[in-house]
Amino acid sequence: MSLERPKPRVAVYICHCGKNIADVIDMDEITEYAKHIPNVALAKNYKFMCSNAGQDLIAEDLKSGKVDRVVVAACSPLMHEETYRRVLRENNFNEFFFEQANIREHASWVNLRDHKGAMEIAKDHVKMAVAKVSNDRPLIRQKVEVTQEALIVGAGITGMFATLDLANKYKVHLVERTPTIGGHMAQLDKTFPTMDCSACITTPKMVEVGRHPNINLLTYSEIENVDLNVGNFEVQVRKKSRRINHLICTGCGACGEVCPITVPNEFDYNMGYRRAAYVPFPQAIPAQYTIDIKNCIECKLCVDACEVNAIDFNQEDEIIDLKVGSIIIATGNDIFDPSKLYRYGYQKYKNVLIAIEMERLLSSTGPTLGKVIKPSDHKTPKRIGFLQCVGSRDFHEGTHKYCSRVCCMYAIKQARQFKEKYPDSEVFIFYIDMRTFGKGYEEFYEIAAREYGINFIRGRIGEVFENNDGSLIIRGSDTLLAEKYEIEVDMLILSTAIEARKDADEVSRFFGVQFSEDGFFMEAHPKLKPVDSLSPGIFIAGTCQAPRDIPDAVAQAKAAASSADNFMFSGEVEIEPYYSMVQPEICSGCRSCIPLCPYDAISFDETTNTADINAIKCKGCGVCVASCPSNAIIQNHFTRNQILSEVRALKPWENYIKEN
Amino acid sequence: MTEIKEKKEELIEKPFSDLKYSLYLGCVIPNRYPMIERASRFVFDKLGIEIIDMNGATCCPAPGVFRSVDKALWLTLGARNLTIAQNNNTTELLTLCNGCFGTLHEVEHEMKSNPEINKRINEVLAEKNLHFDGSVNVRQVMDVLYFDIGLERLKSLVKRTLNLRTAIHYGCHILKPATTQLFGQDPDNPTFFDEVVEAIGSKSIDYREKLMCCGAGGSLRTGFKDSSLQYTLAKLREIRKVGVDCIVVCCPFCHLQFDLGQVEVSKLLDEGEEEFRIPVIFITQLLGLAMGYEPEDLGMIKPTELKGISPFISFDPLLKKIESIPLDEAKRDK
Amino acid sequence: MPQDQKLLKYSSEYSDELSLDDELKKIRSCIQCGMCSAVCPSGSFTALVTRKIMRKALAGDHSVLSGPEIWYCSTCFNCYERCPRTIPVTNVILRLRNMAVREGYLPDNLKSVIKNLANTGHAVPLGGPDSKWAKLRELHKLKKVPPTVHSFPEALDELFTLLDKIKFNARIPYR
Repeated sequence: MSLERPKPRVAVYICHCGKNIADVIDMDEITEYAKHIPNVALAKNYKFMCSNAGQDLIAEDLKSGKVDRVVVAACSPLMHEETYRRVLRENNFNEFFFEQANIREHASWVNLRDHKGAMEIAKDHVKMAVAKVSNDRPLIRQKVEVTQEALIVGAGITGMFATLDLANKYKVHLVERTPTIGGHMAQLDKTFPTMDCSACITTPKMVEVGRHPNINLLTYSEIENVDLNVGNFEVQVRKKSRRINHLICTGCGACGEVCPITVPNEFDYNMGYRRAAYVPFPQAIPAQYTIDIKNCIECKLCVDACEVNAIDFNQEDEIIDLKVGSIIIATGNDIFDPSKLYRYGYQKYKNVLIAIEMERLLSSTGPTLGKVIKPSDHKTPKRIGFLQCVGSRDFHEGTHKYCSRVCCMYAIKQARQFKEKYPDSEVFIFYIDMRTFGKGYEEFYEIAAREYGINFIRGRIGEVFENNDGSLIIRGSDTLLAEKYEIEVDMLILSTAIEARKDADEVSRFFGVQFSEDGFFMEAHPKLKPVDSLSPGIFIAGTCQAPRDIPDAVAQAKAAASSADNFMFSGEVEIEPYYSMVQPEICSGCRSCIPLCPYDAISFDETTNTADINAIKCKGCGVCVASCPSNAIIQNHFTRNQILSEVRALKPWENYIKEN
Repeated sequence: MTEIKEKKEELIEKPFSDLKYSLYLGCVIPNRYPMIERASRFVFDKLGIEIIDMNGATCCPAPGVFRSVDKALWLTLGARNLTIAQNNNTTELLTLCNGCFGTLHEVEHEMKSNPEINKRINEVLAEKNLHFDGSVNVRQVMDVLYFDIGLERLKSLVKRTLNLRTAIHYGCHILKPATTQLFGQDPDNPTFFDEVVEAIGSKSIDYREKLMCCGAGGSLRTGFKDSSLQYTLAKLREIRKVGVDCIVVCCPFCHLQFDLGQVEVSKLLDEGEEEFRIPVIFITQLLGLAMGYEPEDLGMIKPTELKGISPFISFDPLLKKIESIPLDEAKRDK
Repeated sequence: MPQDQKLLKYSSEYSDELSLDDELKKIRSCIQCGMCSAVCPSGSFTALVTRKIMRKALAGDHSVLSGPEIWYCSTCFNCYERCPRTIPVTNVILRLRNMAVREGYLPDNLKSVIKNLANTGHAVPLGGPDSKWAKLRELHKLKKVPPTVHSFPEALDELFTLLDKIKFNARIPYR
């Protein structure tokens, strides 16, 4: 038997991608070029390599015995790497004898006008892929068992729905930071476009979550630590002390009645008040009380008032250890704070509110029991205005470029509610574009104008001034008339943007999920993997991923639940074999790689005095490989030799170094 | 922003005798409002701050008219003015005008950040053996008061607490574009002028339209005077509503627009509306008064022997009020 | 076709010229939200609608250069600061003015100021050592003639040379 490895025989397939590539890159030229790259046994091009016919083309060549490795020059591997690997697998080839050269995103799309340049780049990519595949080694995917339990982070409408869907099959742990579940939706009075009462649809679901035997509800709790063992995530949850024993508390409210401390109620956006011993709102789940340690003065009046002796000032935070097979992140969104947009006078002028404050005023369970009043004199306003796109669609620092998607609809909804309550009032909505894209939304908008007589004015408010009586002068420009307007209103509501949670980076670190440019969590693929994160077994849903309304959030919740189910259901999961390995004979034991690993996958083996990488936790990012001073770490599928072979394939590279 | 802070920290400790500026006068100050020149030279002299004339300086050129007409002209003459400060061996060019600041600061910025413009303009300047090497920083008088002198030292300079009710007018080009201005404050919420006025013992009275333009700039006054006066009238009406002793400005063109403008808006007044007679003073005049100097040394006189000269609105009511305010020392002695 | 038909013909001529500058190029992203005109003080008193100026420039409507509206701007930079697309609106207007001047549209009242600068170095000159302004300077205990270009004939010469070098007089003949 010869020790020499047989020479690789590479098949190169160039994909036209319809016209996406073929319009820019000459197919015959690049195919001819590919044929002359060392190790290439054959080169072909085809209209759609990802189609059945395209895949068959590869399969036939593999079966013929003429080739043993495959390069497809097409789109991004994120798109179709799995497709082609499957072809190799099905034909009994190791699937890692495959490379995809991305000549669409990297060559043709970015060089629509420079065909010559695109060709140069495409040739380089093909050349590199051939070099890499020639040096690839067969790898085998490990399988690990998956725990049949799930963790949902965040109990807003998204988290609750995901939980309920999964709970029919699995044990589900639902962690919520605040004392109650329900999220933003519980704060809303009505929902567009059906105008059904938000509480009426939310509370039954909340009750169901609270009662479900398969759901372990952990409110007033925060994630403390996560060990990212794919399929067997180990999670520590801190259950904060409420100073009230929830096993005993009946939620009678006696403690709240005697509590002498009054603080602004966060649930009412600080417009109403609550006691230091409180439930955020009457329908809260759990219904038991919480003592807010930050504001409690420990007068202990509540201790005497509690008939069941549930109050326990010695109660301490509890750390709960969970082991789960999949995680759904549904941490929701924050609301843009417009106080830095000085010209609108939020928090300077009393009668300038943000929409969520208006929502609480409109709500029958709100601080005014549904009566809309001006903060300045507690009288009902006669003329109100809504200003759209506050913090959205703005390219300045500190605001958001994206459209928040829900503000047009919630402004119309609030305007209609206000008109219903006060038919003699006048309502103005100042907008740039009315975006009413959902099912039944445009109709909802039309009725608002026709039947409710709401004034829609296209053109932003530029300046707001306050009169002595608290009324507001708003000045702007009607873009359809090309005239400036100046009108007086009693109240101005700013339709503020939805934004990513301020502590989203902490969550991202715990779970190893990435951000998009806008600060929201990034999905694995914008179209094909909308609820997957880049970490297997971890899913994202709802407004932590992007601004969206309730129907879309619920749809995502269900999608994420189904994806998590899919992930756990077979009982085992394949791990990508890209992980890094320490060569113990070379490792000097300097430990410099350990703190650098973003996934906490490296430990130190005291017996051998070397670093050790947990293959299941390793995501193959390569940081340790690059940082190792002894070159002791190698990464599967991206070995030094494999990467350098790609670089060496670029002949002009050496010239490049010389020239620069 | 950090750059501004660093600059501030670096300069704040310097004794007055180490401060040295090339004084850029512009057009309106020397040729129409010499009282501003007088007051400013007087106050800086008393502080022991060195002021060096920029011999042969031309119009900045004005950002409204000339930038509109021809950007090459605007850049060339602006850069030429910068070279005068540079050849004075000073790094700091002090202007008393928002418009000149707008032009010179923007030209400085372009010359320092845009290599292509730098090359083109220096080629033109080479015709007269001039070269701008980027060693000059353009400073406005407010910026010098706020950063180089600083609020604490300003407070310590006060010898007569005037407690005047003042309407502050910031003007535009000192605030905007915010990306290149010196104060690092939101142009919708600036405070530096108010801070300076409060530090030297007067009150800044808030009024609607405080941040609105005076109307003079952008060649609007030159081209369409009545429209420009509409701005001024709108502001004056708001100022009258809150009632002040004087309007304080940091720009001679705004000064002119408020001073001469009060006479000119007469024809635009509603029937029966009272004419405006609100004294307008420059920030260095207010500083000089607070330091206890005589109004005359600060140019606060209205010569009777000449007709049609500045100021057009008499200082008399203001001077009368100040006369009755004793020096702080005298007050303490009592 | 009737003579008085008034239909818009789109042209990218002006926006293409503006787009040579990376900052001014942002005008192409204008969403016509009206913010610039909402904060424009001139818009409260004059026929200036900055939003419309942006639109006309993008549409290539010649009246944007020939009309007086662009000259109603007082360059307060409110629009510049507030445009949600961060279009430097004021600078766009200034560039449009440059383009208008090139095509011969210059408000009459500006011509005298340009003449002043091109002949004396000051947009607002003293008017000679015998003028009332010189006397006022004297009353203020200042040099009769300020130490500007007014006091230095060689500086005026320098100015003329530079103006010739940039062919200012050839383009805008006011000396």
